[in-house]
Amino acid sequence: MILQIANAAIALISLLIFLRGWGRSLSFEERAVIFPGAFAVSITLVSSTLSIFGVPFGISFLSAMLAFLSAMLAGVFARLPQRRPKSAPSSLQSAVIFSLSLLAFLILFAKFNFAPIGTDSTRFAYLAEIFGQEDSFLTDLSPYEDVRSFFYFPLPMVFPAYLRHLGIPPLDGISLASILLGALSSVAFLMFAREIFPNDRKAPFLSAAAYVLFFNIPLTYFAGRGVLAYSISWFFFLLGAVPVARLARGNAGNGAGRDFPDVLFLLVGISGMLLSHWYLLAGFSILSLSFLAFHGGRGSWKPVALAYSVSLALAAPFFSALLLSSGNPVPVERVSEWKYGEYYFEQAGIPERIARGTVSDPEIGAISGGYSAAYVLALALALAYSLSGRFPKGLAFFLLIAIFLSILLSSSITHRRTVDYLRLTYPLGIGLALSSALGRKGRLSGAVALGAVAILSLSAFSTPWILAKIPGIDPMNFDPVAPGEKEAFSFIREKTPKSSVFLIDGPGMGCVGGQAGSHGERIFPATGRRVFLFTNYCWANYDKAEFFRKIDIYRRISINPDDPSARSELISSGATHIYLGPSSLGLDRGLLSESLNYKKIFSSGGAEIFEIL
Amino acid sequence: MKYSEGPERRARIFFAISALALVLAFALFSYKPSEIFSEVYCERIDVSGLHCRFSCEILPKSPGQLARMTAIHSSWSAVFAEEARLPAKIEIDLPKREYNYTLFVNTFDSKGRVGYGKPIHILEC
Repeated sequence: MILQIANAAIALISLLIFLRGWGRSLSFEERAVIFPGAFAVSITLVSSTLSIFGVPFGISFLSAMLAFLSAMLAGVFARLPQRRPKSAPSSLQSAVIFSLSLLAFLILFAKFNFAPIGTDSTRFAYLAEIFGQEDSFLTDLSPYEDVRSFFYFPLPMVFPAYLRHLGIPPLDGISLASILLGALSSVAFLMFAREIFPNDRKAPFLSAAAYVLFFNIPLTYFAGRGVLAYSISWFFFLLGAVPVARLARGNAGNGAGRDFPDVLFLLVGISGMLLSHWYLLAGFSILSLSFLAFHGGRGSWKPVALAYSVSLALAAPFFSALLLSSGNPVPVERVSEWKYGEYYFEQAGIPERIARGTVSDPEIGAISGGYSAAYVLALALALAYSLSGRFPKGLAFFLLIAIFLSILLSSSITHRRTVDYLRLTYPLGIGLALSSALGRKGRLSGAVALGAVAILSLSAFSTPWILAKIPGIDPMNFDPVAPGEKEAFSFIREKTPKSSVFLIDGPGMGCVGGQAGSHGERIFPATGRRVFLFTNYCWANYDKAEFFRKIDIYRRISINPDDPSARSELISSGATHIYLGPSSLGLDRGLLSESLNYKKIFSSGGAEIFEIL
Repeated sequence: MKYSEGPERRARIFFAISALALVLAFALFSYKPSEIFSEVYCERIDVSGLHCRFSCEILPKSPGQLARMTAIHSSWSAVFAEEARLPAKIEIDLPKREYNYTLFVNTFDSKGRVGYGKPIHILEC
């Protein structure tokens, strides 16, 4: 308890020092985005590194907070110079963009009953709960899971573990962080757009509005089937993109003091991508190289190179230790299972691959009517502005390289995400076209932009469409939380022994996804009760013999819950209860209800719990 | 504020590096035909009120390769999983439900080369 209070107190003191101290040398927007970003990176980096070398989490978190506090104090003593431009951009624009984005995220999460969104989000909550219970970063997850070692990026699991340490349950912590980082990423996009259109007050705002309304949620929470780690990485991508565009304008090389905020943004952005998801680092590297190659003034390479070097050096101990303790994180069967989803995509020719990379829907890469038509218009605007010179040459080159890369990467549903970043040019095209039309300079482009906006508003996978249609769309991947789920978890917390073990309906197939069909794995992070079988980790070496044994018990219990040998094996393996979510999967509610060997102890909103007698 | 023009030489170097990176990426990620895919034939041999039984024959292109078979009843949730050396003939007993199952058969050899071919089969129950 003392550690938790000390942690929370240091966090608050750090925030105060930042806001009242050196943070005042930054603009309103810079302060809003850099503090949470730097906080998440610092906590993750220090605590995960210390913990993987054997330091308990409680001490690691405190050390991380003290390191963060020291950095804040160092910023005060460094007496950083004021660098805010004389004509500071309107904070009102940032406030509007942030509020609009926050509202969209709140509506989205409210539709999911504020449960985490993303196919792998509960897997991270699961890991955060294990780390919390064991007070350590473990790679061998037994007895909570049949995973003996794994490899993944630490931020999505360690930061929720930190929030859990402060008393915020992992599932709620992930939702909270997602909403906040999602809304702040829109502010970061506005800052980036201002660097792209430095002489225009309307275009950056209109671009950011288009980003919020049509791109932020689809590209983060639905791209690549809603991988949470990827959506977090988007925030850090945008943080890093701001100084890249600014440095390229020739502001660099004027002394360490003036460079400092840019280096800080780059450091946090690159470190954040390293710690949350690596795919976007490829896009960020292309963005950096494109801008610096075409606009790099004297000395502008130095901050970028410095930030890359420091980020890699800081992250190296953790990743080295994780790799060494994990053995081979990509065994043969993992690759094999990834491939099942790739089959249909590998057959595509070059034109189809480009179309998938540029105009397909963000979720599964399908080219779908109206939505793709809107993307065609947005891409046409971005290309037209690139060719006419109204986009900076670096941005134009970045777009062309990214389209070319889509030939290589969009043949795979897994790798298609690596070219999604090219779509950050689309809201810029729409914003510039609308701004030109308002100035009566570009009626044609304005009409095209309005066409894209109109189609995006009405068709699939724009933010308004998602907000209107959820929970009706694609329930297999983005199940909303059934009304009974949280009620069931409360029941489990209050009415079942802490030693209970739950057989959940729809356990994992070993890889590819991150959730069970019933969401039953959420029982563990929500209540601390163990789950009999939930193995859905890619990049992991799991105990295959144990997985095959348990999945066989589940299959036999699904066919006949009264099968004596299956029941006996289930009980001897420690299972005490059975949990069924609202979807009908393997287990049969009717047979379980009729059986004298099971007692239904909870039923509400589609969720059911049986006690094994 | 106007963007400054960078030296042409730097842009050319960047082009060269990009081209090299693309070639490397292509080598790493591109589709390579493989000879280790399998052919799968399944038939339903028994149905009752509780279960459906299927008999599946999995034939490799080259003997000795390993197959991992997973039957799923919804996205990413398995109800059956087994491994077998090929050629193999297996029986799969699945609970009788209102929906069909999807069987994934992934093949790979000891060197980690992954089999291609159609890996998805619908088991109508």
